[in-house]
Amino acid sequence: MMEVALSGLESLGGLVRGQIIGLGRFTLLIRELFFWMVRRPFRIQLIFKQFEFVGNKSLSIVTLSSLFTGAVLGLQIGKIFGIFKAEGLMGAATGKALALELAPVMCGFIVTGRAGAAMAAEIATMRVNEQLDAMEAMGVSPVSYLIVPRVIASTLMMPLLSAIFLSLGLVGCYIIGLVMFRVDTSVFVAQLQWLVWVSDIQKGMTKALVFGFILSTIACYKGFHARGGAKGVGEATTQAVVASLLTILIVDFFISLVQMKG
Amino acid sequence: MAIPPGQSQSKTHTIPVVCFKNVRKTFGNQQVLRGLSFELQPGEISFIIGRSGEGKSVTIKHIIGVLHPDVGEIFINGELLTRAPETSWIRARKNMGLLFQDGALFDSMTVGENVAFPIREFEQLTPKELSLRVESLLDLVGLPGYGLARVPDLSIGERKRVGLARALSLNPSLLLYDEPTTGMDPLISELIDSLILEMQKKIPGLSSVVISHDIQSVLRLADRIFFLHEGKMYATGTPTEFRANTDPIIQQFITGSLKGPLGQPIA
Repeated sequence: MMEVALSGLESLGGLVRGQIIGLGRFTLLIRELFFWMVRRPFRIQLIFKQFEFVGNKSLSIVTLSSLFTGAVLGLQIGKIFGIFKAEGLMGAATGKALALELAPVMCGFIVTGRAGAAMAAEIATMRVNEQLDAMEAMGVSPVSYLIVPRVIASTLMMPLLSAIFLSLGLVGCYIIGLVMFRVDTSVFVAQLQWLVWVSDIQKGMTKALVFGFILSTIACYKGFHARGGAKGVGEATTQAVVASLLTILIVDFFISLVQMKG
Repeated sequence: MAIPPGQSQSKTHTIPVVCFKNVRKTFGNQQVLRGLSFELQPGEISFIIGRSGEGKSVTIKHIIGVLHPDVGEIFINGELLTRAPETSWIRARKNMGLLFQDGALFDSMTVGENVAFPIREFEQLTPKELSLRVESLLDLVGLPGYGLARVPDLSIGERKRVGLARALSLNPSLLLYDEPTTGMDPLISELIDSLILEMQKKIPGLSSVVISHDIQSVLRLADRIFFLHEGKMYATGTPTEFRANTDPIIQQFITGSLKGPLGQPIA
């Protein structure tokens, strides 16, 4: 009995120790990231390459998912609001939900799954193949060369993708309103303007900015500390996706809490 | 009787290109370096040998400053770099080139881009100058016209040579080879050995440090051999001194015998 308890305690201790070490490493990486963000060389070309990778290449999936997210929201909200003969409000309700929550969170999920996973896998492969060591041996900081451009691009691209998600989501909702609930365009727009404020969009964009930073730093961190060949690359990628998604949801709650009080 | 470290170097008065003083390094519970001390002289081919897990690669990573010692001092070209800021290490690394075991080439880049990578980072050259420099480096390692080749299409021997061209791109005074012939067939091993000798002849003042298990290469190429055992420098000397050495540990290592104080390798 005593042995089982001790063994359990030991496992718990090991787990806590591992988490503390991980947190320490993550903090050090963030420190180095900010150090290289404000120091030469500024790798403009690499940043633009990442803009293309994170932004442009995510555009098709963001377009498709935003149209359908807006449409399905419109469908559900329209049906419920129809009970109270308030279908005209469906655009406003969908717009509010998209602007404050769905656009930044869904974009965070999409970019994590597409770009974040790729970042983690690429950096992890470079780690296990000693390419990061080679870079360091040449006097080039991998943080400056690989991580800074990815974090800057993700952080700046996420609000843009989120704005596109919001706009196209509303288009999806509008089509459903028009086709299935016969909502008048002027009513749809008027209600939207009445309920969705500029501050809502700003709040959503702020979230998207934070999520972009979170998903890219977690992906790069997991890749950077990958160990053990192909298996290690796979583990790092899975961990990066899971940790990013969970962190986005948790951070979303706290940002919402702060924004509501503010 | 083993030759104590540094004994056969006592006649030289030049500044050592690398100097370790009582370096200790522990990973978790495993103490890898246990007070390692040695000096590498400029212009020589120095081989660091020892059994697997004795800390040879850890030693090379300390030389390039990717790892830092827990205790002890490391001097590169006479400059104490143990607790120096990263900027000092970056400056020191510009004078070093490292050839990794499998080349460690960036597979997202072409051969030319790989070779050009350090030059782009540290020198301001026009595209034409850069292209000429890359081509001359590829010529030097016997791969002319490979600039546009893709890394995944290269054979292992070609990868090593591209890695060598990249290691030489900033005209280093210290060239490090991490197990360059491990896993190679005898022909490629011979090719790598001849490249090591060729570089030493072609580049005046170059110091080379090679980590190797290939005892034939060691005895043929080395100006000086450093034998690592139990995290310490067990013996140093020339190949002739090593051959003549009667120490049972050294003899067992040289002959590759399974019987002796080193015991049998764990399968």
